[in-house]
Amino acid sequence: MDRREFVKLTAMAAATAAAARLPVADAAPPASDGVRWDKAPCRFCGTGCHVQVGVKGGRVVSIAGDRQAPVNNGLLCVKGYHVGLALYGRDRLTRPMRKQGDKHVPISWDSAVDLIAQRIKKNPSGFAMYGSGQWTIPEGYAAQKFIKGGLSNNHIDPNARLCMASAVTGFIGTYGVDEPASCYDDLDAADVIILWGNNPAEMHPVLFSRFIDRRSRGERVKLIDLGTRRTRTTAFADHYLCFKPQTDLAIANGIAHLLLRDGTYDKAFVEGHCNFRHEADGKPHLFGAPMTFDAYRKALDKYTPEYVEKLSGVSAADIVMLAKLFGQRDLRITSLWCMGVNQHTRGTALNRLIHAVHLLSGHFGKKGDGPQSLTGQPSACGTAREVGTLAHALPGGRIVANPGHRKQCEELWNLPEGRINGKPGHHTVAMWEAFSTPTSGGGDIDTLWVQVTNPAHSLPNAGKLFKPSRELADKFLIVSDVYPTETTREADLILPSAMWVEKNGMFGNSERRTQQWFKMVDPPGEARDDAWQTIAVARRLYDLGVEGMRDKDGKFLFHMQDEHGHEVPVWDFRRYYGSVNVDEQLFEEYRKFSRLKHKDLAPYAEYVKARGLRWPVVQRGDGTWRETSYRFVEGEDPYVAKGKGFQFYHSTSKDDRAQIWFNPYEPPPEAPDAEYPFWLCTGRVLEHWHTGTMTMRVPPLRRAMPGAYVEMHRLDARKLGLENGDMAAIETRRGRLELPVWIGGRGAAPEGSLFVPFFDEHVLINELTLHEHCPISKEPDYKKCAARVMAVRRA
Amino acid sequence: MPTTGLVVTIEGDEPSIAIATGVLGALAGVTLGTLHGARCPVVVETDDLAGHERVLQAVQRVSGVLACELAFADFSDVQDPAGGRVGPRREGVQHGSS
Ligand code: SF4
Repeated sequence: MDRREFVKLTAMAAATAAAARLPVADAAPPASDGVRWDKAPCRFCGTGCHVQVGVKGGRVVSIAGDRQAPVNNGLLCVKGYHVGLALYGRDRLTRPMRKQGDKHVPISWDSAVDLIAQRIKKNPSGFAMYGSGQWTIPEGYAAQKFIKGGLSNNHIDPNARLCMASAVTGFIGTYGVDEPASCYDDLDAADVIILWGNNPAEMHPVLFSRFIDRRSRGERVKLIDLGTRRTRTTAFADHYLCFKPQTDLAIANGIAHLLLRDGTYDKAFVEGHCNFRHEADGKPHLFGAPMTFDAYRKALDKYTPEYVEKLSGVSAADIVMLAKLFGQRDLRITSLWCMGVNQHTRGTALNRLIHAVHLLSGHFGKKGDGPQSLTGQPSACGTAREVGTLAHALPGGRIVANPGHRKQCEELWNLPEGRINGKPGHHTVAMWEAFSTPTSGGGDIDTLWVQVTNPAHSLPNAGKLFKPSRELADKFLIVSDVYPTETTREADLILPSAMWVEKNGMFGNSERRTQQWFKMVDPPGEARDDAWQTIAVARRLYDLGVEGMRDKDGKFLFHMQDEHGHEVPVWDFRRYYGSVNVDEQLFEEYRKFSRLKHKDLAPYAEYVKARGLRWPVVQRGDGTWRETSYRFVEGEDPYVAKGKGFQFYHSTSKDDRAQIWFNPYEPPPEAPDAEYPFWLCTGRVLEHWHTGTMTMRVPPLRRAMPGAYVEMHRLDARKLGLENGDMAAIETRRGRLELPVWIGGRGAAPEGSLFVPFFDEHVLINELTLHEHCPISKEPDYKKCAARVMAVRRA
Repeated sequence: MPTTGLVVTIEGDEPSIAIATGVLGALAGVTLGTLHGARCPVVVETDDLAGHERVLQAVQRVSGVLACELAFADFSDVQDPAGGRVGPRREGVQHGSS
């Protein structure tokens, strides 16, 4: 058999096994043919599919869906399919470079590390790190320990602030602890799936394929799409309910109103397991104040179907239809949401209200029956939320403002008492504002190190938050990345990074699943791991005598030992992959933090064997490790006491109850008016991963979606004299851009609305978006601002 | 010569699925496997990445195709996986090493 035939047979065997849903034991592993296979999670979205990566001659040559992975059962979407090619763009960054005049010139790693260390030593409190939900868990943990345990300034925040911070505050306010109680298994059992401003057909395609698969097998699964524009997902929906931006708050309240009015709420569940809560003085608050059931009912009084219809544009009959569904005990209802809910000036409130509707109706804690928020990034949960790389957080659900939590961390890190600062650092918007404000004017960040993200492209209102810093002589921007980006273009120092399977790593996906992989190929040129970069700078500071880099016994903060107890100088890159596995050592240290909030992690070795495990992972009597599908549910969650049924053991009211919140509808900070008559919404597309840094280097993805566009309604276009492909100028109070018009494309904006994807570096739509944010989560609203459109007439 | 193993999900009753698989099977570079309910294993083989893309798009455009997911991809003898240009950066902007 020749090689072509062999590869073809392998392809057919893999496709057949996945199509037939063969039990894993019957699924042949990818054949070898000199190709060495190993598992890794996909590099891209928060779904967290596992791939099998085929390596030959030091290069990734094949990709297969991992049949052993419960997340994706051997299937991948178009991005996962190309994940191997994303490594091989022609313009990978391969050497550290320093800006000189208008150019970047190569420098040695030694000089780069020294330059950073000297700047930090000069002003440690003016140093900040801006990271990512694409940081691996060990990378984020190293950065977290370096800043909070070493430099004592807490100025670290991830870009996850821009995508899921409102989900965090929603979970904490409701259950007293972050992250979903349910999991993806819901999609295999739900009778009704409700999408709150969510487009999984493009953003979480492999999850959505579970629904398509069920439908194709004749199962009756109702799909309800609550959105502000039609998307690819809408094509599969039984009901599309188009609402006016921001009025989702009123819709949730309208459902709750009807559950009470009609007496269809789950009285037993509510009386047994819930309290009521609100923001008593009308001021935003994470924990709020208790309210009585009667007060709750009264607060909801005005959210009649007619009132909600008036606000939202969704018919009263459809509000009644939603409430009737929630009022049926025998249905299993799964709610899914992502950026549409989180990127919202009342994002925390809307997250709470979705939980409230589920708790009030008792649709909680059964397979197929519960609220499940999704994340956009592969480790927004694992790294940003669990490691706690947010400016106010410490590992394992702790916060810097809590003296007890600081003490625990100091003990676990063996630091002198008082090393960790009790004042939260700057959250993302504040950090970039401080960096873009002159030091003399109070901008207290002068050196900012960006890892694994592209803020010049992705920050909202970039003209205010990012650009001014580039005109300020004393502001120094360091960027670690794999390809040139809008941010590296502006950087004072560029550090080339290893990517995905060019390094060891761990991610944590949207369903609490912690995943691990090993390095499989070498990075190009002098590119190196982000965690190594952090450790190398920490070591240089140690050598320069900076006290914070020592623990209380004088040992280096990242002291690592081999199996014989000898210290290994992992800050020397030649020793980084040698006698110790740095990821394993960092993870084993980190997992000690995971028990306080019952997010227990298993030993590293367990993740090596598994296709991820959902925490809490606890050890059974026989020594094996067991993951958890549903939290707070007796028989599923090991921390729920026998006989309790449900137990919200981190309840903010300390009585094992979840909180049902009331939050009122509030208008958005900016809405269309006579001057700016359109709504502008931004978002992602199927082919591109966020700012397109990687996916725009993959020719098939680039050709499939080569550039940004403005999606608008046919009638609006006609009024403006625009046709498909014409150039239009989009203007907001913050800036102006020109884009081709797309009418009747894959999405459809309603009249008076525009949609622009943000992946295209040639068209930085975030120079136009708002930086107004949720007052609790500090997450900005990218989904709505006021804009106007004009036809661009070429001479 | 890139090679891909796909799982194509087709909607409709048996006759419509038969029509769709007939169209799929007639596409150049496509080999069909045995149908499992509404799911059909499909192998796509082409000479280069650009041709591959065209076939994959054609597969997705076939009437009745609901979803098209990847199970296996081999790029081992694709000469230049990044083939084609990297697009220009914003006008008037210099970037990269000197
Ligand atoms: S759905 Fe997300 S994780 Fe899965 S293959 Fe696609 S991009 Fe990767």
